[in-house]
Amino acid sequence: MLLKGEISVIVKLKLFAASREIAGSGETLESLPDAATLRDLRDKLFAAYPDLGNLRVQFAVNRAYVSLDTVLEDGDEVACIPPVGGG
Amino acid sequence: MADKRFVVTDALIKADPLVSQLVMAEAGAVVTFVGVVRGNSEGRQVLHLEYEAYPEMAEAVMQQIAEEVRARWPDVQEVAITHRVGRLEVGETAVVIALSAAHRPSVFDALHYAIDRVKEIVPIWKKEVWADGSEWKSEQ
Repeated sequence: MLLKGEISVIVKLKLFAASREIAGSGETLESLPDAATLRDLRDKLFAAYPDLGNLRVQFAVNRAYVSLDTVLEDGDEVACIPPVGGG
Repeated sequence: MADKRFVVTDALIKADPLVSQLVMAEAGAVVTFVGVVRGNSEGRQVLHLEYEAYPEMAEAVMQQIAEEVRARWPDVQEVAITHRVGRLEVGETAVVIALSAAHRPSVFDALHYAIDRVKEIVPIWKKEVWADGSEWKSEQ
């Protein structure tokens, strides 16, 4: 049985463009404690890859832009989205 | 081309098939925006561009933009957006947006809004490649 704070949520993290190059990978699995928010994942990423903090990245969960307060669920697809530049 | 309104593709894209999708009996006006790879940027010669997308989300966000357009200009009937990804050479088409309405007054403003929103929120990225380097570019 898992106690609060143990790893119980695994999300798929996708990284694109400049964020993919900084992290060195376009897709990873991230393990997080129960009830972790997107902000927690962001802080973990910025600690691991300080250059990401300079990119003004946004995040999407399950293909929609959401706030950093969003609680992550097991199996979520999280995307790290640097400033877009289509067109 | 299949009748799909919002597409990210690595194949060559053209405006005509998109326009054909939109032409129907009720449409009196169809406008298109064709975005083309320019050979220079801020005084530097561009060799080619590399576009990258989060395709599943990009197509969903394009559909959201179409819904925004129809909410603001209710007489707009159809909206179609296709964006190419991968390596694009100078002169090739990167994006086509087409929309239709019964009459012409709103289509130009609606088209302008649509391309601005594509550049603002669709998860697609563009890297300029020059002879001596490269950089991800954003207008944000």
